[in-house]
Amino acid sequence: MRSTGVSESQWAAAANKGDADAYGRLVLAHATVARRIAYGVLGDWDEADDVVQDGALAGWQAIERYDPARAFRPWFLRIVANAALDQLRRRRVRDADSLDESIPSRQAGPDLATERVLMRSRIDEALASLPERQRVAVMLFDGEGYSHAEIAAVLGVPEGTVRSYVFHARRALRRALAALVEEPA
Amino acid sequence: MTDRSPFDAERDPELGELVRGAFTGPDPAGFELRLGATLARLPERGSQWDVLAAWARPGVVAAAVAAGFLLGFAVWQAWRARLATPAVPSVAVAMLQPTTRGGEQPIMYAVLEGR
Repeated sequence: MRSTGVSESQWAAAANKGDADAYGRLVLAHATVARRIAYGVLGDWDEADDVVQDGALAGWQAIERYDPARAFRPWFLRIVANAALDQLRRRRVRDADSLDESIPSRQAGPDLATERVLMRSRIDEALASLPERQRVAVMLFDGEGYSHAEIAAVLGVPEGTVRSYVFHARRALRRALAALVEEPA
Repeated sequence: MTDRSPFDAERDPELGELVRGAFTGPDPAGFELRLGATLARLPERGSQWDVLAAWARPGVVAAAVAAGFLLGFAVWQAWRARLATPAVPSVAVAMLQPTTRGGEQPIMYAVLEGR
């Protein structure tokens, strides 16, 4: 949240009463994470951007149902996560393809020689192979420092399920990175 | 990083940095700009009571029209009921009633006379 002397809860209370400016500030404060969540589900930045826009509009339509006594971030991020999952379902129905085929797997080109770029490429591949909820969970937990409880609120699943998601995602990512270290140069 | 257990409840900063790097989208400034433009065009929302009040206005008009219709209908029905009171006949109805039941007797007489 930008430092304006007004707390997030005050902006949230104003947004709940129909203050579009307050709502806009809140959304922009969490837009980057929202974009990452949408990308984590969809694996496509253009679609992710559209979903965040749609989520922002949907949140505004539903702002009266938001309880300003509770944190705005998980409420908004859950709307975006649900919008992304809906979009993914629509895409699957449309394409009738599997997730592995629908999410672009970015293969590292032969010219990417540096270890850092190779590692990034391997992480991208490992992330692309994960189910979308695991991908979002590990991104929020290790990437953004969210608690299990907050991720559970965003994804709408029990906390224990989030722990399981993070566990499986971490194991997959670490295996991918370990394989990179073990590979002969 | 890889020597950590996946069960760790603590955040793994090294893995986190790699994951965050993978989740850094193109043109973040452009994205915020586009989103900001969308948010700037949000319609102002009133309170729930304003919404209800907006719904109530046409409701009140509809109720007034319905009440007027019912009142007019009731007046019309009362007027019709008044018109429907039985009129006094100009000719005595009793005179028009047949004094004997059935029309078979004259025919019977005619048949018997012929014999």
